Amino acid sequence: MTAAIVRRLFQAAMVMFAMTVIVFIAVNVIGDPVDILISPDADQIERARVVQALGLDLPLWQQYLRFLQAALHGDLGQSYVYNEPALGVILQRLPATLELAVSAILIAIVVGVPLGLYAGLRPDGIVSRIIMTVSILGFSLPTFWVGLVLIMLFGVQLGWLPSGGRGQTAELFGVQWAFLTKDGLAHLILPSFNLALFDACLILRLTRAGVAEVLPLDYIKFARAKGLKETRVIGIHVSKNIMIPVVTIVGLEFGSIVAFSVVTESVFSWPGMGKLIIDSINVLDRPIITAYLMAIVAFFVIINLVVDLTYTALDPRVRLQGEGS
Amino acid sequence: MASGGKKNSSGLNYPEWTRRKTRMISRTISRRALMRWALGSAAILQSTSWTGLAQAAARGQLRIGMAAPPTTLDPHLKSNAPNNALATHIYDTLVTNDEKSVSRPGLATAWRVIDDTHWEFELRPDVRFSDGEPLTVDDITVSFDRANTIESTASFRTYTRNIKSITSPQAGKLVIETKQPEPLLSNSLSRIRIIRAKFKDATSDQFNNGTASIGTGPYVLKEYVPGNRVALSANPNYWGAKPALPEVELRIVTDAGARLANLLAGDLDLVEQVPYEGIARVEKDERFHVVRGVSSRVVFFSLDTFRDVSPFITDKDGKPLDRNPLKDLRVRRALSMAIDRKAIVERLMQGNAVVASQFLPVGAPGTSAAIKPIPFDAQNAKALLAEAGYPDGFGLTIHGPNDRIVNDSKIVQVVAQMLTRIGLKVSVDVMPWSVYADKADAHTFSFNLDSWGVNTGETSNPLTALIATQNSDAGLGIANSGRYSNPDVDAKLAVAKRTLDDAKREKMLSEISDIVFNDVALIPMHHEVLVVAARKDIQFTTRADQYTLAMNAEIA
Repeated sequence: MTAAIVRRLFQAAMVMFAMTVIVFIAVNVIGDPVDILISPDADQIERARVVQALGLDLPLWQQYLRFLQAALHGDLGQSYVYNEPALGVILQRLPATLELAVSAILIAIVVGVPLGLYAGLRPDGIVSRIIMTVSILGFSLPTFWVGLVLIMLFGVQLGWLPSGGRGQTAELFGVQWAFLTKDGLAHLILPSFNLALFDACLILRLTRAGVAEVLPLDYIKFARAKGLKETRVIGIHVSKNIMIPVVTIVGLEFGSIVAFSVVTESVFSWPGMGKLIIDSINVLDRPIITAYLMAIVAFFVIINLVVDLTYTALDPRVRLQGEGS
Repeated sequence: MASGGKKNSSGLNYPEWTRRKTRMISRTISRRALMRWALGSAAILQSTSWTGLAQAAARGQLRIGMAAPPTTLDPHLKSNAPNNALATHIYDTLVTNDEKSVSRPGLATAWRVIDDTHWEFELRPDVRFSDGEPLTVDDITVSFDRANTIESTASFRTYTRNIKSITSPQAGKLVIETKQPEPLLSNSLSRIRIIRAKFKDATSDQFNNGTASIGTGPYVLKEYVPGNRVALSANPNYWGAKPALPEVELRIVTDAGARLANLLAGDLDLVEQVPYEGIARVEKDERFHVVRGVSSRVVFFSLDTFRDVSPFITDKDGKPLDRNPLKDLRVRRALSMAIDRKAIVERLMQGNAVVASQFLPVGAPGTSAAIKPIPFDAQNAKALLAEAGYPDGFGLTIHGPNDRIVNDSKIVQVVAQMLTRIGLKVSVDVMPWSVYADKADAHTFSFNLDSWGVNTGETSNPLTALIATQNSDAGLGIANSGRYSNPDVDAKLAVAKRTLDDAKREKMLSEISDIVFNDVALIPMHHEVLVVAARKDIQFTTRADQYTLAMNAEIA
């Protein structure tokens, strides 16, 4: 077990290393950040000063070594745009993205799993057919369009919910969270529902497919033959066996929601990290891009680990490599 | 790891479907088209609930939807439009720029030129900071010093570098000595915001969290949440007229469709940069109105008039030409005449632009009344081309950004078609600003789209940056991406920039403008128009420098 985790961490470090090399080369190929960052009124003297101050006059490999040296001391560099430590800028926006992602995934599970179970158990029912049709819409409509329609309907026409922003926040563990205030919660509903829609439909369809596959199997028949209650058959025997793909998808999707929620974040002006990375790429803010991608790599590695651990809990046949051998 | 196609590190094989990235599909559909449907469908349903609107008005609160996020509250850290606009609410400057970028009294009530390098300013008496402390000369010198020394990627040094000393020979007076004669000193002073001297060494962080962000401006900072919102309230100690709306929230809503939806939903009272496809929707709605104003941003094409062989100009078969047709004035004139600016302004820009024939609309300082609007005349353009030795035209690639200037990629495409009509073989290459910017600066292109915000409100600024022969030591021609070079213009400009007498200088600049535009040093297209939408009871004045300021809003 420990060996497996250590191996994971080592792999994560290698991926991060490779990624920083790619980011450095890629940003260098795209263009020169100074041309974008500098005030248009500035003259050449000012420009030369900035280039030197940022160390951009050095050859790329020297810039990279400088970065690497600082990174080993825990310093991922100062953002060109914000003049603050890159990691700090990212962490400042992490809570907003995190609460959005968690609530979206929760909604997706709470909506997707029961509806999927229902549709799987009664595949020919009229309700099931409606559920399945709607779910096709759910993951084929573009996220930002659904977002705008939600704003138009619930924000503009009905006036029930705020149309954007994060609302009031309250402090918990030294961090500002929106879900702790009534106003913040109201602001959270539309964007998290928007973000959840795709995953809810995905989970729903996975669950249904799983149920359809598991139901005719012998052990279900046996469980029923034993005289177990239907609720127990479905709640334990069926559910546990269809959960592996669902857990995988939840894990991966959680990662991508955190990393790529930019569309929903910009439609609802939610001040999260997704917006930050796109803005940073547009202005070639290399320290932010690097730090952000490193953070995301770390994040995915952790999620994958959690997912694998969950597998072992769900299915005793699954073993992590390096465990018990 | 999400896209890791190989065997997963745990030794488990994830099923194939877990690896796809379905979410990305949505980006391929045109956002704009879909937004139009969304807006359209909303127009069919009629609105009913507007409780939010009335409440906000009653509280005297103004909620503004901003298109671009400020990156800091430190007024000396980074010079860009969102930061400067935000800082204008909180801090004052010695001289202020009014809506048309004309210098007006700020913390200095009057000023006069003593000699070529000395200026005297009368300080406004009894000015207090929002914390109650009086403004002193010390605060002013510290602010200039900080702006001139702070480590920054977009500093204000361009405005402070020429200042040699700031002294106060007697109470209430300030003498500024410059290294070289500086006719635009009052404009430079309008960039440097005055902070309290005791925050000389404050970090940008201290400005962001409010401890150091103490100014003498019309508003005081209540709260700043990066990337989200800025809350301001009227400064009780302000020396000038109290703002009409004492409570202001600047909300950052970068998505144009969302900004408009927020306005329609009553969550915002005023939004800047209304998307064109939403203007009709706002104008139809009796609760809102649209405010327009000409900005000082001019959109133009740069021409490679420097190289003898230009990389993106070929003959019609795509073979390189042995000479650069753009060096011939007749060709430049022909290309300029072949463009139907009126059609572009009316159709493409939907009326939200003004046809340009020079850097600023006629009447602004340093413009020339002798420069006539450029006629659209394809026949004569063809004749001129033939006269220059290109009766069958030539091949040309037009470059432009696709995320910087309003309708940039469409402008490039339309102009390409118009040039095709006079016989050129034109192709188009647009790219994101992050890729485009340094290529344009490095003189990569032959014919490319660009824009310039003339924030000084007079023409010496664009002439210096866009027209003067590039010279790093003298700070000339930094954005001269076609490398236009005209010794006559350079000499005249140098004289004009040393001339402190406003009337004389403006006459000189106007003569230079004549030379530049008769020589078609670049091809002017249009001046952008700002489009702001607001609640009907809010009167709003736009500014040429495109800052959206709460002070410019009033209740009708």
